[in-house]
Parts: sequence; C-alpha cells; structure tokens
Amino acid sequence: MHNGSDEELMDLYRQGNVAAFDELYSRYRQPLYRFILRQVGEPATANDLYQGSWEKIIQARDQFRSSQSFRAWMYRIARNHVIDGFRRMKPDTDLADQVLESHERLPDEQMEQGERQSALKRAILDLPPEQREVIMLRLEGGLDIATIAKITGVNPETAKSRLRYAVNKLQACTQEYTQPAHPEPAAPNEGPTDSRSMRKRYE
Amino acid sequence: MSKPKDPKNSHSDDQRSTRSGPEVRVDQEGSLEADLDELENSYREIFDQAEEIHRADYAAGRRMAESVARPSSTPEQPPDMIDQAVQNMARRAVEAPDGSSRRRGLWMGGFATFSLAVIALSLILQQDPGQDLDIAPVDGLSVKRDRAPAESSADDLDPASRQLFDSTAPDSANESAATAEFEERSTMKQSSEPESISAENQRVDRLSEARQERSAAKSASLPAEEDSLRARREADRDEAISPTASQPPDQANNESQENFSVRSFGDQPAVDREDPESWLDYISQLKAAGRTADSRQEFRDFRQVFPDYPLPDEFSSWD
Repeated sequence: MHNGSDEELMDLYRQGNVAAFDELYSRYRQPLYRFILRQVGEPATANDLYQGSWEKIIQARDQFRSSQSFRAWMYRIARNHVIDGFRRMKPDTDLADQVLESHERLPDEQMEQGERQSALKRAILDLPPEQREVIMLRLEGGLDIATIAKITGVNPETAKSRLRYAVNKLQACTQEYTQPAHPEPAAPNEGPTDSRSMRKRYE
Repeated sequence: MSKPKDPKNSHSDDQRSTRSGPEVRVDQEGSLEADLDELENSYREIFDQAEEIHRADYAAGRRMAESVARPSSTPEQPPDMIDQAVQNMARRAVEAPDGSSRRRGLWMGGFATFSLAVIALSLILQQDPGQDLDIAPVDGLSVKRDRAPAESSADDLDPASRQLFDSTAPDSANESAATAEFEERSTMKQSSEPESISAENQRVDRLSEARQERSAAKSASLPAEEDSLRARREADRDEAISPTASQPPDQANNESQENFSVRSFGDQPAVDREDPESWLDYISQLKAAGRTADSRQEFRDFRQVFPDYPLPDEFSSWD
C-alpha cells in the first residue's frame, strides 16, 4: 500500500503503476460515490455517473499536473459529469419523481439505517441543486470555499451565500432529526427545489 | 451542535456584511467556517460510523454482500461490479497507452506512404521501360544487350516462322517495308563497327546476290522491290560511314535492342544468318570444334532458311 499524497499516487499511475491507482481509488471511492448519490438521489443513476466520472478521470490523467490538487481536480470532473448527466436526461425523466421515489423509500431505510441518517439525507435532497452541490463538495470533498467557488464557476461570495443557506437548513435537520423536516422558504436568489428548475439551471 | 440559524436572518447578515466592509465580512466568513465545521462533524457522526466499517471492509477485500450483512452498515457505496470495471479500465488505459497507439498510427501512415511511393515508381517505370537504358554506345563498340524473354526475335521463332520472317519475296508492300527495315537494322548494327565497313559492304552484296538467286528459284522476284532494297542498302552504306557515337542514343538503343540476326555462342564469334556463307562458315567452325549436335542443328536451320543454296563438299553428305 502506498502512503504518498494523492498527487504522487496520480503521478505514479500516469507512469503505469496500477497499484497506485488502486490506492487512490480506495481513498475516494466512497466520498465520490456519496457526493454523486447525494446530487441525484437515485442509486442507479448514481452508479452510472460514478463509473462515468472515473472513466473521465482516467482518460484525463495526462492533463493532471502534480502542482494542482488532485481532490479538487477529481471533484471538478465529477461535478461536470453530473451536470452533463442532468442535461442528457430525457425530457420525460423527471428528477423530482426520482427524488420522491427516494423519499418514499425512506421509511424503510429508516428502519435499517437510523432516523438521523434518513432525515439528513432527506434534508440534503430537499436543498436546491446549487446549495446541494456546494455543501456536498464541502462535506464529502472536504474542499475550502475558494476551491468550491472555482469548481462551481461562481465567485467566492456566491459560494459562501449558498453554503450559508445549506448549512442553516441542514443544521436545523441535525438538531431535530426526529422531526419531519419542514422545507425552508426559498432564498430570493435561489430557485425552487423541483427538478424542472434543476434541469433548467443546467441547460 | 449549534442552534440552527434562520436563513432569512443569515441572508440579511450576509447582506449586512457586504455593505459594512471587509472586517465584518471576515467575521461572517469565520462564522460560516465554524458552522461548516460543526455541520461536517455532525455529518460524519451520522454517516461515517457505518462508512468506516465499509471502508475497512473494502480495504480488507470484503465485498458488498458481506458488508451489507453487518447490522449497522449502509449500502452507500458503489457496487462491486463498478469497482471492478473502474479498476480494469484503469489497468487497460495504462497497458495500452495513447502514446503507443499514436506511434502505431504514425508507423502505419509512414508505411502507407512508402508503399504508395513504390507503387507510383513502378507504374512510372512500366510506362517508360527504355528510360533506364539510355546509354550512348562507346565508339568502336556495338551495344549488345541481352534480350528480354518477352521480346520476340527471328532466332526464337520456329524454323517455319523464321523462314516466313526472312522471306525476301514479300507479297505486299508492308512485308517489303518490314524486310527493308530488317535489313536496315542488321546493317546498322554492323555499321557500329567502323573497321568492318568494307567487309560489310561485301557481305551486303553477297546477301543481295543470294536473295536474287533464291528469288529467281522461287520465280517470284519483284524487280521494283529489289531496286528499292538496293536503294535502301545504298543509303545504309552512307549511314554506316558516319560514326556510331554521332547517332542519337535512341537509335543506338533501337539497334542494339532489335539486333535479331546476330547470335553468339559463348566465346564463338557472332554469326550473321542473313549471309549463307557466313552461316556455313559458322557451322563449319562448330563442327571443327567438336560440337556436332550444335552444328547439325545449325545446319538444319540453315537448310530451312536456304533450301536451295549450293553446299560445300563437307556438308553434301548432311543434306
């Protein structure tokens, strides 16, 4: 097992060391998957997007420079791939239905995974996509605000604002996870949470 | 865990911080960072207990079925098939790097270009086969080139055809012209040897006489044609006086290329089969050299061409 940094492992992999990639993969396998799953809310779609993201990472390995952060580079690729996935969705495929489907399964999951997890998942899925994106880049990717702003293509102030709204909503959920999460009123500069607005945003 | 903030208040805080200057913004940013850290801790507390188990399972090589069987686990991880697919993809990408395919593409491109050039060159050479033979003959030497197998000549013909070829009693003007052309070539070859010009003239005369005899024997002589042949020979003599080197290279090539009547047997001298005496001399030399079979064959050929020519005593028994 390699103990080097992500960037060193990526360099080794570019030179043909497959074991380095395996180590890198084991480090980001779970966070990247959850990042995507929290975005789309549906495991089948998340599986496709997850595999596609890694495919893009592998294909773009020669474009990676060791001077940059591998984590930021990887999440940027994954984020762009997720947005492409939204764009590719057929018009009759409504993400809201998928999310609702996901919500409908929650009671069963609550039985297995605990109420707190389910409540937090639901709260994340209830976030507007812009807020969900930035908060997951933080919670799963561990990225700072400047990097999040760079990845999402907005200025840092906008990123902070989105994070602030997301934090407030999720904190409310973690405080009262046993209570049903009441959707917060939409922020003036953020769109509604339905999938039509999500897709419109990415189109 | 901190008390959740009202988003409206939070938004107004952001707006206030933007209006009131950088110091307040730093405070707000610090507050946001603190809230993010707090949320992150809660998030990890909620999810990572189970995820740690998953991560340990993955590192230990256990697969999902086994992992899901744990009571506290959550299946929020990619399926094993996807793990395998991604790792295979990564392996294949390294084993067959893009660079090698680019190099292979370059190699194929170079090979295709080279093949195209070779094909084009061979086509050009096929269209102009005499181009590589533009060698001017050296003074005093005749250009004798091996004939290509595809080139036909009088020597390669069967006796009947050769007789037809050598016939001096043509039935039409075309045949007459062909015969004249043949004579001209034969003579021009000889003209490449300046020292033998006078002997050549004598041989031409002898040949003419012999043909006259044959023509008379066949009762098919054409006086007008003979006259034209004579005129042609006169012209040939004139041309033979001029040095060979002064001839254009194409003409020299044509002469050497179509030198039908001369054949050489190794170190034996060339024989002119248009001249019966010379041919008989040659047969006699073969006989004297002990090459009986060759001499017999030559004699048979001779008889095919000159059936009525009076033979010396030494060949009278062969007839």
